[in-house]
Order: sequence, then structure tokens, then C-alpha cells
Amino acid sequence: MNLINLFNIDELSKIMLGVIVIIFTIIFGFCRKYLKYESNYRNFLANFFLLFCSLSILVCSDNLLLFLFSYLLSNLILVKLMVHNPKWISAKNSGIMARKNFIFSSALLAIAFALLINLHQSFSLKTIIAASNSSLTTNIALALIIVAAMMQSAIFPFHKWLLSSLNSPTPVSALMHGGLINGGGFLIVRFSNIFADSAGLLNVIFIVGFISCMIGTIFKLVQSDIKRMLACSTMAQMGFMFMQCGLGLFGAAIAHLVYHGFFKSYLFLASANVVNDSRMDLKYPPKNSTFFLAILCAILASYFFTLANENKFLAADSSLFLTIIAAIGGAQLSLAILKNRPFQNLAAAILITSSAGWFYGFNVNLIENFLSHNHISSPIEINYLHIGALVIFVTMWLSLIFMRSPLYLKNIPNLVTKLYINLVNLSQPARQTLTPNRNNYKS
Amino acid sequence: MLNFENILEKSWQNIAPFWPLQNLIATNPLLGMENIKFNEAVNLGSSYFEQDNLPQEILDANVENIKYLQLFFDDGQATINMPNRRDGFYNSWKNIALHDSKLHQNDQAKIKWLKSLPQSSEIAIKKSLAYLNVNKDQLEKFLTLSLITLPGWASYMQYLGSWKNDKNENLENVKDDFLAVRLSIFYLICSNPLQLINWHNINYHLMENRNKSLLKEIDKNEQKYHQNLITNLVKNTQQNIKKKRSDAQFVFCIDVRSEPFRKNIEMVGNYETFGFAGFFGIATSIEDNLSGKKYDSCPVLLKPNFKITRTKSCSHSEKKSDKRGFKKLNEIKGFYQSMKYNFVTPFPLAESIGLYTGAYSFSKVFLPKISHKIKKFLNRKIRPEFLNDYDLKNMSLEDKGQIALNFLKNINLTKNFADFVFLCGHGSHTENNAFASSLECGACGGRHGGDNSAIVAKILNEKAVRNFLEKQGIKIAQKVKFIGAMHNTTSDEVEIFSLSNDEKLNKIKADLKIAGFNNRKYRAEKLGISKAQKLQNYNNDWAQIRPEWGLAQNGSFIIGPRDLIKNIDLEGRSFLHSYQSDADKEGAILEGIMLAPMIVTKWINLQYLFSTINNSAYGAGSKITKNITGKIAPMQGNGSDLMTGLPLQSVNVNNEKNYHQKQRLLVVIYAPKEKIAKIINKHEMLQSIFKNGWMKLCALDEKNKEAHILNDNLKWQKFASNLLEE
Repeated sequence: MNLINLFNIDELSKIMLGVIVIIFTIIFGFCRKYLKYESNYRNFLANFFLLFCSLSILVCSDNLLLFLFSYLLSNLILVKLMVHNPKWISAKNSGIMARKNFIFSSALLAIAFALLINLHQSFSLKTIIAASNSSLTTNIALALIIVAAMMQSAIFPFHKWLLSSLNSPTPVSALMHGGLINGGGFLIVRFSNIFADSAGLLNVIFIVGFISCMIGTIFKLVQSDIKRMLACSTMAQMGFMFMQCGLGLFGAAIAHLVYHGFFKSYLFLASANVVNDSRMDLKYPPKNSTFFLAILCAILASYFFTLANENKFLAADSSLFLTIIAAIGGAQLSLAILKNRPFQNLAAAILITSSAGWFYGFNVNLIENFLSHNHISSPIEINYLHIGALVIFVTMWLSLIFMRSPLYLKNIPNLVTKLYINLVNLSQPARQTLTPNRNNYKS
Repeated sequence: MLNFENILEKSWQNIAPFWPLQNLIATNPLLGMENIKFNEAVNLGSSYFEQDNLPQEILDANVENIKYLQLFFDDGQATINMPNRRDGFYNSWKNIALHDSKLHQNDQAKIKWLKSLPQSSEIAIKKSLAYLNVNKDQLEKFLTLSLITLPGWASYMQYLGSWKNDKNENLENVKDDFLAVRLSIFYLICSNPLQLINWHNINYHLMENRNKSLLKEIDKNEQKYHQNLITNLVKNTQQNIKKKRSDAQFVFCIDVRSEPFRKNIEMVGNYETFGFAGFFGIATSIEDNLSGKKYDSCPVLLKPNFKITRTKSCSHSEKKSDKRGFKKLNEIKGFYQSMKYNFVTPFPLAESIGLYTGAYSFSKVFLPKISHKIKKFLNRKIRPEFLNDYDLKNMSLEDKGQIALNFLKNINLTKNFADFVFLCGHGSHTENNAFASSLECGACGGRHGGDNSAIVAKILNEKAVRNFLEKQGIKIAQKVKFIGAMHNTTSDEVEIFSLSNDEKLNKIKADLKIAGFNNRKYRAEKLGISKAQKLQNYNNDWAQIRPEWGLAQNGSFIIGPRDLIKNIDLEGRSFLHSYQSDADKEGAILEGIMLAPMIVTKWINLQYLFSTINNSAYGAGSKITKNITGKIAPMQGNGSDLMTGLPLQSVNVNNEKNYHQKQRLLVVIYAPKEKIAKIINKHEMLQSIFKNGWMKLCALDEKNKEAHILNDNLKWQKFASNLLEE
């Protein structure tokens, strides 16, 4: 057995290292002013640095024991950072929930690794991946890895800890949502070469991702405080990342991981700005003519997306899925441009959405290209699951554009009211992490 | 025997209003207890607001209550809103509650009870009270306790119900609605909410020991401060004789942050400064002609008398391009929102702009200045900047003349005008700061004071107004120009609303820069920063948790002539109002000052005091873990009651050490004590304030160099200095 080979720095490691360095640098720059008056600031910085090291080791490790160790350690340090003042019982409870989740996820990972190590008589990730073949043991190990990844990325039904984690200082939330929450995606992509062989498991990943994506999005739309809204949004974004994995598009998943990481950590850091930020009137529902023009723009947007992403425009594999997502994005963007004067703004809409589509594809391609040495993306055949998910996506998207107004009608059907309050209840943080008496809050 | 409405009203009296984050107004959290002695109020307040051991089932009820309050009072956060909001809080709650198994636990009896609830919230309150078996003697106490156990949200209801101007129809009965929902939830969730009465009786004395030492501490702080200040003031009663006409005159807000800045201006040139409430005497609401956003720009104690539209000062074609630019900027914002709040579209959004947001965050953290410049440059490209102009067509000449006259008489600037008279409003410029409006001008209702200063300057420059003033005996030479300006309290820069390239004006601008530099140095020390230059970056620094100290450490309100206090180091702890007793024979001006600005300073002082005493109960807690609900109010973490009051970072050095000194405001008035007593005798409110010890008052007679302090029995006591004898 090879215990000595601790590290293997491949393209994936390099990208993750890059992300870690950038996000930690930004958040360090922020904390240096934001937290400098805290009495435990030094302690905080020490943990912050330790987390940085631990994560760097995680993404570079080849030895599974080291991998597991740094995985658990990183998460435990994160919990430490989350609980800024343990005298605030609700915050302490948030920490306990998160810790339980992470320990359980690590335990599953440990079993999975034990199975793999035992099967291949090696501690080396590289060796195991190269040697793996489809067997029951491998599949069990992979299934365990999926569950561990789901817990790490707060995929439904393991999302509760994430929605209850907002007792943390703002920059810690930024770090979590931009960094460690993505651990699930990283885990799956690390083992992507084995996953790629199992269509069944890919479908499982796709389905759990899809469910989380739907639920997270609906949760997000009914939230009335900024941080919980962002947390629900992360839940949906993680779901989307899983879907990309489930489509075999691991490169796209990593691109999503990276860009969403930057995006969400920015949103958390800037969350106090919402006070002055008013909602615009989006003029829903649009006129039919506007909508058809938007579809035209959407086709162009998705065409330029595939162009920049070096894909075929209408490929008959799972990459088509992303092309259609790009089209939806393009349609939505052009609706916003066309809403006031559809015909006068058409030229602008075409120009803007096409370049946005191109830009989108370019960004994704940037990461995918870098990873391609690992043969990390392998689009699979498109199947009914994918088509079903797309149909539901498009339906939900359209209904939000066209059917929002009934909610403001006088007689709302009981069913809608019931659905609404159930969604609200389901998306509440755990009771013990709330602070219903302000005197129980401790700064 | 009190009827039901009176009892209801009485129980609400313990709740102070809470203004939303858009314009946080300083209030005394014990506002409703100002009719009893300060010491007693502190005790009663503790027994209500500082208890950390609420019964478990009341906490559970709070959780459900907060859930619905967050949903209903959301002002633009959620994409899908609570259904039927137009029916008001109670009715819209009633409709949903039927389907909420967390409330009725699928218990058929409870569902039936919910179905039987009446339309009117007032009847619902009575019904719930009957079901809870509250008897007549317990009624007031129980209602009070129901409110004070969810004090943050109750405060917001108090604001909506009793202080907000122009409210929507669905907020008509908001206070009743709140109670109706609260009591119904009690009925549904708690087995015995009446235990609150017992709970309060048991815990009533819990904080008395702490309060004893607290009151001692306050007394000690006050004594030390009073001795020092009054002794200094008495020593300096020699009025300087003015040698020559000043080059410019500046009128600042009474705000404590103006004091050191005024001193620094006076030091750099032949300048004279005045203090007046920062709304410059015009109670107006201001509407932006493009965004249509409207707000009241005057103290909340006043109702706006005028509606003024803000436009741009530029040519017709420029106005058109300004409008285009405004629309374009809005459209870009619309793109983003339209992508962010829908199905699927946030995913491509995140992947498309993720890289850019990363770079943006990086630049915001490490290169705030450059990143701000770039942003400003791009914004200007789309929408060039012009000075503001104001449409005063809603005001008659008489209105304008009166405002001008009152303003000048109040600060006793009726002759010897300098060529330039600056009306200097103030505001703070901070980014990513939910509590930004708590650093703004309180006299302008928690907004920037720039609009008011520009409006009053415009009025004073009007020829017709000058003629009006001349008839009243105030002659202002033609060359005298009134100019609006704005003091940025975060960076100590003064923006002057004039494009003129006059040489004298340029000299003044240069002097203001020097004064700003000196004031930054002074403030940097207080903030514990080595490089004063850094303060200029605080305007755009989104990570800066404490961009400025605001009004922390405020200790006194000095109403008197500037000359007499010019040479005293007031440490940036004093509100200053210009006043010349000789010019106010009847005392009408002083009466006005005591009834309005003085009350505002009291609110501010008591807000700082109580936020310091217990930041969880009376303050907002630390900014680092705050969350913002409905874009209107702060909570802590995952969810809590609303956190009213000032954040920890406004009153504390760190999470252990106070910065603000616990003391009540000392009002010093340069006027004969008989004159002051006459005014106090006229107003019960003033008597109550001083009798109950919510403020301290000192009369300073400059002629016979004597200071008198008003005691609790409203009797004057000669001030005896310990320091003078030493």
C-alpha cells in the first residue's frame, strides 16, 4: 500500500486552489476592517488561516486518509468560526446542527473510503480511480459519497442546517456560501471518472439536484429577510450544480462552483446594502408580441452560448440541457430590455442578449478548457428525466412571468394559500436557532 | 372606570415608536414612561424590557408571531408576497392561519375557533381575551405584558399606527391588528399565557441591584462632567468685541458633530459660525421629479407644511438627457433583478457575472478609492451630474418671507452679513451600512440635510424675500449670497452647491479643506486610527464597521452666543444652538428652542444612553451578525424580534468596553433664570421633563457670571464649583 504519496496536484486542484486563494483573500480583506474591534479577533484570524491551510490540503490530497482528515478538519473549523459567541445560545445551537451534519457526512465518507481502500488495496485516489470498475462495492461506496456530498452541499433533505446557519458573522456566511458549501460538488467531481461509468448513479445525482433546485428556488421567492433568501438561493444553486454533475457535465459543474462562489460571497458581504435597494416594476406579464421577440433573442443567446462554449448548437446529448438553460436566461434578459418599448429596443435586445450568451459560454468554457486534460466532461445521452426536468423548469419560469398576478387577486384559492404557508413553514430555520426574546441575544 | 379603548391605549403607552432603517429616528425606548421619575422608569423599563427568562410557551408564540410579521410587513424583499395583504394584517393572517398546522396542530376545535373569528380586529381582541379568561382587573396588565414581550415589533406597530404620515389603507388599524393576531396566537399555542402576570410580579425586582449601581454611575458621570463644563463656561463670560466683518458666515446643524468642525473653520480664517436645527426651519416634504421618491425632510415632531419638487439645475435639453440617463441606470438594475428573482435564470446569471463580482469584491476590499472612482465615472457617463434645483411654486411670498425671517432671527443674524453665508446641512456617506440613516441629520427626519440647506438658501436669495425682510427691518446688501452646502460627517468634506468660480469663494473652499483636514485628525484620534487620511475612504468602504462615531458621548446642549464658548474645549460632546437673550425680550425664540430642538436632543441622548446600558434590550446588537427583514428593520441571525435602537458599534469600543458615557443631557441656557422659569411654567411637558429628571438644566447669566441648576422640585440652586476653589 502506498501511504507516502500524499498529494497529487491536478487541474482540478489548481482551480480549487485558485478559488480558495481568491475568496480567502477577499474575505480576509473584509474581516480586517469588519471584525477588528472584536475581542476574539486574533483567535478568529488563527482559525481563518488554519481553515485556509486545511482546505488547500484537501483539494490537493491524493491520500484518502489525508483527504478525509482535512475534510473533517475544515468543516469543524468552519463551525468554530460560525459560533462567534457561544453565550448566544441560538448561535451555539446553529453550530451544533452544522457540526452534527458535518460529522455524519464525514462518517459516510469514511465508510466509502474504507470500502474503496479495501477493494483496491491502495490509499491513493489516483490509483483507485484508475483501477475502478463497476462492482457492487464500488457502487455502494459511490452512493455513500453522494449522500456525504448532499449533506455537505445542503441538498434537500439535508438543507436544514444551512437555513439555520445565519447566526454566523456575515463574512463567515460569505466564506461558507462561497467556499465550503461547494464541497459536495468537489467530492463528486473528484470521483467523476468513476461516476461517469454509472448512468444510474448519475441519474440519482440529477434527481436530487433537481429537487433541491426546485425547492430552493421556491423557498427563496417567499423569504422576507435577506440572509435567509440568500441561503435558500444557495440551496437552489447547489441543486443546479448537482444537476450538471448528473448530466455528466462535470466541467460545467466546476465552472458553476467557482462563479457561484464568487457571486454568493459578494452578495453576503454586500447584504447590508439591501436597505436602499428598491424592487423595480418588471411589467409582468409581458405582451404576447414582446414575449415572441424575447424568444427570438433567446435563440440567438443560446446560439452564441454554444459558440463560445465550443459546443454544437443543438447537440443530441446532455449539453443540450445547458443550451436550453442559456436560452431561458436570454429570454428573461431580453424581456427586461424589451418591456417598455419592444420594437424600438429590439436591436439593443438582440445585441445585449447575444453578447451576454456569448459571455456566459466564454466563462464556462474558460474553466472547462482548463480542466479538459482530466477528460472531466463527458456528456451523456439525453433521457426522459432530463426532458422532464426541462419541461418543469420552463413551466415554472413561464408561470412566474405570466401568472404572478393571481396572487394579488381578491379570492385566492385555498390550495394556493395552503401551499404558500407550508412553503414558509418548511423553510423556517430550526426552532432552537431562533431568538424570539431579544434579551437572549448576546453580542 | 376606564373603558376598553382607554385601557388599550394605556397599554400601548409603554411602547416607543421605531422608525424603519430608511430613516432611523432617535427615540427614547422608555418614551412612554417620561411622566414618572427617571429612576423609577429605569426600574420599570428593566422589568419590562430586560428580562431574559420569558416562559417557554410565550417564546413559542413569539416565533409564530414573528413569522407572520416578517411576511406581512415585508417591503420589497420577497418575490411572492403574503396573500391578501390589502385586507390588513389581522384579516390576511386569519385567512392563512386556517391552513397553518403549526398554529392549529390540526386540532378541529382550534380550526373551528379560527373560522369563527370576526372581521374586526377590535372584536377579535375582546374575543381572545374572553377565551383566555382575562378578567377586568388583569386586563391592562395583561395587554401591557403581551406587548412588551415582543417589544421590537410592537415598536414598529407604534410607528406605523401613530407616527407614520400618509399610510396605506391596510395599515389603518395596525395596532389593533397586531394585538388581535398576538392574542389569537396566544390562545392557539399557549396553555396559560396569563402566567405572564405572575412571571412579571416575580421578576419585577430582578434588576434592581444592577440599576442601583447604574444610577450611581450615571450620577457620578454627570457630576464630573457638569463640574468641568459649567466651571469653564462661567469663567468665559467675557464677550469678545468684534473687530471686523467676517469673510463668510456658516450656519451648521446643532448636531454634536458640528461643534469641532465649526471650531476648525473658525481657526483657519476670519469666519463666523452659527448653530441652528439642520432643517433650517422649513418643514417640507421633498419629491424627486424623476424617481418619484418622496420623503419628509423635517423633525418628526413637525408635520411638513410644503411639498417641494427636486429637479436639476440645467437647460431643457440637459434635463432631457438627465432623464434618459436616469432611465438607463434603472433599466440596468432591472436586468439584474429580473434575472435574479425567477426560476432557472439565477443559474446563468451567477455563471455569467460571477467572475466580475469576484473582481468587484476584490477591488472593493483592497482598492476602495479606485473602485469608487470607476463606478462613479461609469455612472456619470450614463447620467452626467448637475446641481439640484427646487421648485418652490407651492410657497407664497409670505411663506418664504416668514421662513427667512424666523431663521435669521433665531440665530440672531440680522445685521453684519458677510458676503457669503453658507447654510451647511449635514449627512453621512457610508456604504453597505444598514444603520446609515442613524448617522444622518435627525432634524431632517433621518435624511441628508443638503436639500433643506439649498432650499432655504434659494429663498434667502430671492429678491422679493429680501424686500420682505427689509420691511421687517433686516437689510441684506445685494452682494450678500446665501449658498447651500453639505457637511459630510464621515469624511469632513464640505460640498458647496455653487458652480461659481469666484476668487473669494475658492479661497473659502480651500480653507474648508484645511478645516476638514484638521477635524479628521481630531476625529481619527477618537476612532483610534493612526492615519487621519483614511477617514476620507470611509465614505466608500463597504467593510468599515464603524465609519464614524455619530453622536456618541453627547453630554450637553448649549443654547447661547457662540463668542462665549468659542475658546472652550467642548470635546465634540455638545449640541450648540445660537441664541442671544438680549435680542429675544419676550422669550418667544427661547420657547421655540426649548419645545423643539431641545426635545430632539433629549431623544438622541436617551437613545444613546439606553443603547449603552443594555445593547440587547435597547440597542440593535452587533452589526456583524445582523440580518435585515423586509428591507425595513434589523434582526439578529436566523430570526429574532426586531432589534430597535443603536448597534453595538455605535456606542461601544468593542464587545466589552463602552465608548458612550452614560449620562443624561445637560441643557445650558445663556439667559436669566427667571426668563427660563417663565417658559417652563407655561408648559407642563417641560415641567415633567425636569421634575422627573430626564434632562438637567443650567441657567447661565453672563452679566453677573452666575450659573444656576434646576433641581427636581423645579427650584434653582446656585452652581457651586469644586474646581474653582482648588
